[in-house]
Amino acid sequence: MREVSIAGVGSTPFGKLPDSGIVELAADACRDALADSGIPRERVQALYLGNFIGERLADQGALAPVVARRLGLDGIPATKVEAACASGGIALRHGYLTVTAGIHDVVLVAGVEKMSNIPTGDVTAALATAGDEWLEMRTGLTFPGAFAMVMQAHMARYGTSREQIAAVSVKNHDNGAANPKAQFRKPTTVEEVVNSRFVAEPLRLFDCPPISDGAAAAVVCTADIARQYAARSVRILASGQGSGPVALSGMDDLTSFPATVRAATEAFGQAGLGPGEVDVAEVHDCFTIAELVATEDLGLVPPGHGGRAVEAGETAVDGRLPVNPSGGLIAKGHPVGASGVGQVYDLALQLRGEAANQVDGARIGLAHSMGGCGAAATVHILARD
Amino acid sequence: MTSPPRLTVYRCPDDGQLVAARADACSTCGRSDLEPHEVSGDGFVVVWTTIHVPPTRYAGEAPYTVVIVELDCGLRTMGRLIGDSGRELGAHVWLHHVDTERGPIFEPVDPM
Ligand SMILES: [Zn+2]
Repeated sequence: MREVSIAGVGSTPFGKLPDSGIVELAADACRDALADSGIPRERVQALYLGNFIGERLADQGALAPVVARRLGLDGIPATKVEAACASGGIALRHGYLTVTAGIHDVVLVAGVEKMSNIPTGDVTAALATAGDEWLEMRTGLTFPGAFAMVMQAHMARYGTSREQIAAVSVKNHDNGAANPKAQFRKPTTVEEVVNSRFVAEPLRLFDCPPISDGAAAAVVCTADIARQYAARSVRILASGQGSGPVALSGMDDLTSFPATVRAATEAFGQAGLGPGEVDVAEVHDCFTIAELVATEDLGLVPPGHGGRAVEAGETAVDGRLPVNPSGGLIAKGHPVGASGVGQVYDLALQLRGEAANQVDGARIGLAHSMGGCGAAATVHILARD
Repeated sequence: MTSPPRLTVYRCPDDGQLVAARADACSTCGRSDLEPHEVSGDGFVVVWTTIHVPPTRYAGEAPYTVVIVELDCGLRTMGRLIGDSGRELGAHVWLHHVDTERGPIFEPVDPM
C-alpha cells in the first residue's frame, strides 16, 4: 500500500447560491483544488464525485462525466458515489483506495449538492429517500423526525438535557460566525435554540442544518507527487467505512450508530492511533443530537458523556478536543453530497495552520461522515505532512 | 371496548423468528421465504416525534405523530399515533388499523 496525500483542496461558499447550477458548483470547487495543489490538470486520472439527490433536485444524472467534461477531463473514468449524506466521504475513500492500491497516482475527489431553489417539502421528501420507505418513511417520518427519536432515546437513557443538546448549536454557530465559507455567520444562544419553532418534536429549527448549495474538492495523490508539486499537503493516514440498519425500528440501541463505530474502529486500527490522539475533528452534525452521538461512537468521549462534554466546553475551539471548528453542518451548511468533502477541506486547512478557527498545533485530524440515520459512515484520519 | 385488530408480520418456518417485512430475510438463519403471521397489535411507545415540517405528500396533515412501538411479541414497528395522550415513552398503545399508504396507525389505550 502506498502513502497517500491530499495535495490541494477547494470549496465554494456553502449557502444559497442562486447564480450557480450543480455542474458549475462542482467544477468551481475542482478548479480551486487543482490550483491549490499545483498539479497540472492533465495528470488527473480519475474523478470520484459525491452527490445524493442531483437527479431529483437538479434534474441532472450522469453527473460525474458531465463535471469531468466541464473541467476538460474528457475520457478519464468519472464515477458518482451515492450513500445519502455520506456520499462525499465515500467518494474520498474511493480516491484514497485507488491511489494507495497503485491503480491511479492522481485522483480528483469532489462532492456537490444544489438544494436551495426547491420547496422545503420536496427537499424533505428527497432526503427521506435515505430511509426505509415501506417500513418507516411512508408513515410520514422525516429525517428531522428520525433524529428527534434518537434525541428522546439519548435523553431518556443518559439524562442528557435539552440545554446540553442546544449547546451544540451555540458552539457551532459561534464557529460558523468566523468561517468565511459558512452559510450562518451569526452566533445564537441556548434560549434562542430552545425557543425556535418545532420541526419534529422535540427537535427544533436551530437543532437543524440549513438547506444549502455548495461543493468541495480535494486532489488525492501519492505522497511523492504531493511533495513534488504542492506547497502544503496533508497525509491520509487511514480510511474506514461501515454500514448499519436503514430502519430505526431495526436498531437495538437508538443512541449509537454501528456504522460509525465500525468505520472508526477500522480507521484507528489502520492509523495505529487512538481517539485520545486526535487534535481536531469534523463530525456529522446533521442535527445537534447527531454530534453528541458521533463524539461518543468515535470514542472521543465515553458513551453518554457527549452532552456533558459540549456543555463544559471540551469540544470548543479552545477546548480539550475541538469538534466542528468549521461550524459543522449546522452553521457551515449542509449541501448533503458535498458535506463529507467539505469536512476534509476544513481539516486540511487546520493541519496546514490556515483555518478560520485555527486549533493551536493541530497535527492529527478526524473526519466523520454519515448517511441516513446510520445507514453508512466513513471515518478518515489525516495528519500534517 | 372490543379487542383491537391484529398486525401481519412475517415468520421464519424453520425457527419461528419474526421480522417486520416480507422483504427481510430471517435474522437468525437467513431464510427468505417467510410466511405471513398475525400478532397482537398491543405494545408500548419506545420513542415518538410529532412532525411539523412534513414531506410534500402529507403536506396537509401536519402536525402528526409517528411512534416506534415495541409489540407484545418483541418486534418493533413504526406507525402513526392518533391523538396526543400517547406521546410518552412507555405509553400503552394498540393498533387501530393499517392504512394502505401510511402503514400501521396506533391509538392510545384508555385515552384520557
Ligand atoms: Zn430462520
